[in-house]
Amino acid sequence: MSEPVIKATHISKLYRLGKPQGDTFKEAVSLGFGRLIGRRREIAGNKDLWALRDVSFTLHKGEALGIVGRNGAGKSTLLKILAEITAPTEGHIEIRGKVAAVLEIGMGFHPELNGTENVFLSASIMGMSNDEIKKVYNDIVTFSGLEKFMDTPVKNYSSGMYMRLAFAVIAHVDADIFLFDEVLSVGDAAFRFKCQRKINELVNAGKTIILVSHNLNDVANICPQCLLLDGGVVKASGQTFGILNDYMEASISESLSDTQQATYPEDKKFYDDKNSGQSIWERHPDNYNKPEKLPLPLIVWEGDNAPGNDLFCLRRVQVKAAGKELHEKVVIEDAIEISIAFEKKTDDVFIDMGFGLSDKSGVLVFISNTKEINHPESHKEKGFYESKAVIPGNWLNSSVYSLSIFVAKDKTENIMNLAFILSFKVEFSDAELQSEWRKYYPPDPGLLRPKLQWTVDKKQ
Amino acid sequence: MKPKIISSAGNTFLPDLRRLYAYRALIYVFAQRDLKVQYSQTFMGIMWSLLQPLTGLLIFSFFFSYVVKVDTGGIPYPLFAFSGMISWYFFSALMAQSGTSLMQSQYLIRKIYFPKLVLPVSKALSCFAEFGISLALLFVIMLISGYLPQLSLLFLPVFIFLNLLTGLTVGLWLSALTIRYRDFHHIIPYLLNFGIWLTPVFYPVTLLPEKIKFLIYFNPMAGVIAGFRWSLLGGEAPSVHYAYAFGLIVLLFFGGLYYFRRMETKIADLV
Repeated sequence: MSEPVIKATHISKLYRLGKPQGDTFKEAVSLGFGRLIGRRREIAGNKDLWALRDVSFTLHKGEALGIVGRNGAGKSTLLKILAEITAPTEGHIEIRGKVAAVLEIGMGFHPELNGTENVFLSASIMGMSNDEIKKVYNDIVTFSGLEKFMDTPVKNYSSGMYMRLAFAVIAHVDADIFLFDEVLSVGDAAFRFKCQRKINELVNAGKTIILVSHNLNDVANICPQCLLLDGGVVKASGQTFGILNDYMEASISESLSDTQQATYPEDKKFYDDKNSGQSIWERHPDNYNKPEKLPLPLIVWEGDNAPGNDLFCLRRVQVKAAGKELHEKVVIEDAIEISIAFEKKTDDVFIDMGFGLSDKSGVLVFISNTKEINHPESHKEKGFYESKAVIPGNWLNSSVYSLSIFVAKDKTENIMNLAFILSFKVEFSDAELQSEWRKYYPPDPGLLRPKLQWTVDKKQ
Repeated sequence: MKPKIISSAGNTFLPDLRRLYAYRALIYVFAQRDLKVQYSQTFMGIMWSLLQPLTGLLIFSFFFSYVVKVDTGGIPYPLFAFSGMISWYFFSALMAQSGTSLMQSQYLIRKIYFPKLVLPVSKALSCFAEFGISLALLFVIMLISGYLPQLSLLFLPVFIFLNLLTGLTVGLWLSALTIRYRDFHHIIPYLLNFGIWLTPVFYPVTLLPEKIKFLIYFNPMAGVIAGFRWSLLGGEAPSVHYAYAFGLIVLLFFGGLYYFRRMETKIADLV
């Protein structure tokens, strides 16, 4: 095999927290004087933080590596070291080829300058020479689709135009190694797809890519390999699918252990806002400084504080596996039963319940409600009701999902939304965990894991 | 292929000038950006850069040739003062702008790698462009008042170079020191306000009492301005004593490059 393009050996980075010594001239003078007369001084409040500890990896030409990890895991620090923005405290890196670091879209753009001038400015900052820029200038303009606006100062651009121009520059930078930091998480969906396609093209053209992202799915789509950082240390490295699942498992079990400790009514509830007089579903101000906890898969309202208005009030929302008890775990194969119990207070309207199911990061998976049902006239009457829906088994993946409740009046008017009030976990069944194929293949990532009808026919 | 090595230690003693050369397009683009941004949406454009020395010229001509009459060795006072002023403004603009260049561009420094020396050097380029316009105006005034260039004009590039070197040296030190000690940010206005009086810009050196005259030889800008006047307007050649100050500037320049190099690796963590 050819020589690696990037070879990082035992990279560590130390940051000094707190007030740095000798940060002002006065301190430096007194510090220097102290040393002169042989007095050593310890400054209180100084703490060392190893943002990275002993990170090693190698990357060959045409490979794409994803770097994942929580906030503060050291992802960006690693990228900054590779981009030579900051120096490592220990270790060294060998790099073969020209590096283009994209830590921000629109790097170096100046609002007062026009499109053309900003293309030259931004491309020069990325390390391109004047001749190189001139050669690709027309391509950049065509790619951005902003031919008519190149003489306009970018301060007058819409944010979409700004992004398009900025990305067009990045897409035409000539380098061997590209470093991307969370760039895919900005812009609208069309822009994100465009970015992803472009990065895929770069990989296929034999460029070497490192991609840092919070969005695990972006990494899974582009990088076959990945590096999981935690607290500055490499937790795992290898096949992306396997690592992403470990990462999800780890963060799920962490949030679940929070759930079990959650004492629901103290943590999050309806309280009456004194200013507006409205009932607001929020953490009580007294609890703002306590860590946020995931809600339980069951909520019961008994007193007058139940969410609702003069038409209705909610009494109970719960999620459980169909045919099982509430305390039993929900596995992928289980059908999942969602029930919303409410009290109707008047006789003149229909009340429709619905819910939205979101993944851990708040992305909406789908919504569903009782608008499909032809209510008999008797549903207008006062009383206690229960609306129930079943999500089929073998549908959701193993993950934590959260539920928002939507209430509508007479099928048309949305009268209340309760965002993310309840969450539940779907797990792998014991049968799957012990199955033969699990020993060889990591589980599939994704928000859903439906069992689809596959057929394979030999055609010739 | 020889790999590039990234490690904790800086690789070279002085800034890597080959890398600076590889980034020459950026120097040019930054200088262009600064000029364009400064004068964008103004009607007079870059002519504004002439206004400051011209206004100063009017005020000081009034005081020094009308209220207090100073002996300028036969040179008309406005020419005498203007030649000193454009040299001083070149120095002071370069010092102030390159001195704050790292702080001003911290948002870039935190996001992308480029040789940091690009920043002060690009300021030298943009200040030089403004200086060039003032110099052209000076030539026009000279011709109108009947001053034809003499042979000493051949030395003008030398003094322009020394003028640039002095400004850039002070700017290099200030920019690197400001990263560590913000105190130096506040020193710049002092240098600007008092420096102009400690340098014979508006008055001739002969005006100084003999006892303290030797002090002026420690001021490289005094030498630059003396040489500047001599090569443009003739008269007395600058004293050889200024050679010490120029030698000091050369030493300080390389010292500044070394200190800048040392700070360069730490900048992103400190800004």
